Amino acid sequence: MMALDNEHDLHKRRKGRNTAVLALLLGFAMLLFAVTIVKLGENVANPSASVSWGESLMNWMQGE
Amino acid sequence: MTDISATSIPTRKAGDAEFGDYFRLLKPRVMSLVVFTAFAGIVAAGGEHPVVALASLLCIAVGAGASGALNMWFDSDIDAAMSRTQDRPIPAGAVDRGEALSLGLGLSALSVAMLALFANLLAAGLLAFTIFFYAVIYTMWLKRSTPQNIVIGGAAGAFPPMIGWAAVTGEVTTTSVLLFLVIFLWTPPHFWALALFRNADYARVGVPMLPVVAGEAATRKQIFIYTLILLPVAVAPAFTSAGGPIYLVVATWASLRFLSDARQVSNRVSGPDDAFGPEKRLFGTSIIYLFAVFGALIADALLRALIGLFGWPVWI
Repeated sequence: MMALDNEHDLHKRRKGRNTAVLALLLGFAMLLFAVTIVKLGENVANPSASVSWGESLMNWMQGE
Repeated sequence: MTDISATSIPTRKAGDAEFGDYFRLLKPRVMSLVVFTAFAGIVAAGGEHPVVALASLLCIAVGAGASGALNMWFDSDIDAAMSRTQDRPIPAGAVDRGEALSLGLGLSALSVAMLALFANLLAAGLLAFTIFFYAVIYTMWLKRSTPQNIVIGGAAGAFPPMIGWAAVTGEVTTTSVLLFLVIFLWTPPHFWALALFRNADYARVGVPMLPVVAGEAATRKQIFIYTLILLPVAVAPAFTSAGGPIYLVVATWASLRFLSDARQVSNRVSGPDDAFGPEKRLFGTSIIYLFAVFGALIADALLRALIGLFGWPVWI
């Protein structure tokens, strides 16, 4: 009988699968980050979003 | 002490799948067509920030892949009996049915939710409906019950450009409906050409494809009729805001070529040991056709962005 060692095909398959899942998760995180930056950029360009936090608070208290 | 030996370790074909096996569950070849047509929809609609466009496109691709996994989960019994599909991950024993179902459901939910965040609710709703239509209406219901399965089920494959368009504009317009119709009318001749030379497979597993139920002659006639109806519908987008001269020339030429190949198929009667050359050629032409037509749409969008299309008639 052949002993199960680290180089067994089973280990190689699992290692490959885990590496691919890691790459996908990292890619997904980077995509979320990139989209967030782009969406934030849209709001920065929007004048209504450039109201100071103090004005926003006053507006909110006045129910606007 | 437990004696673990290599002989007791499951082999590759016994459930411990490689990453590639899960990827094959997503039907990458179908996904490439979906990605391309959805990309054309995004570009033709006037474009989007590249990052948001890429993110939306990935969601559409993953959603299409998820519906492919659900299709493979449900159809694993007939896939095992057909030569074209018996190497798929489930019949080959590489992936369990339960895993395919979980992957399909998980990726469906993820892709729809992400598209809602990245683009808008309309695009996400259309993607959700597409997945439902392909997995439930087509795979679970129509495929095994009616020879019109791929006519109605073809709608699922026709949605991607409309989803891409909706992701950018937030609406469904005449142009996006026309792009939908191009793929919707293209699907029957595409699949019936395949069904003609794979007839024995479909007959063996009891899938009521048109050649199995209505015979070859009726199928050949239907192929020609659908290709004929497709011609004006495929040319029509040339005269929308998404069209242009490149699209007009390419769509007209490709449609005439498609029609010519369909005519050859419709005039044939297959004999014993037939190699089905014209049918295989029509199947190949149909794939090139779709890439050519939607590629022309992208080319016109680039032309519009670079030099503008002053005076181009927009009638629709």
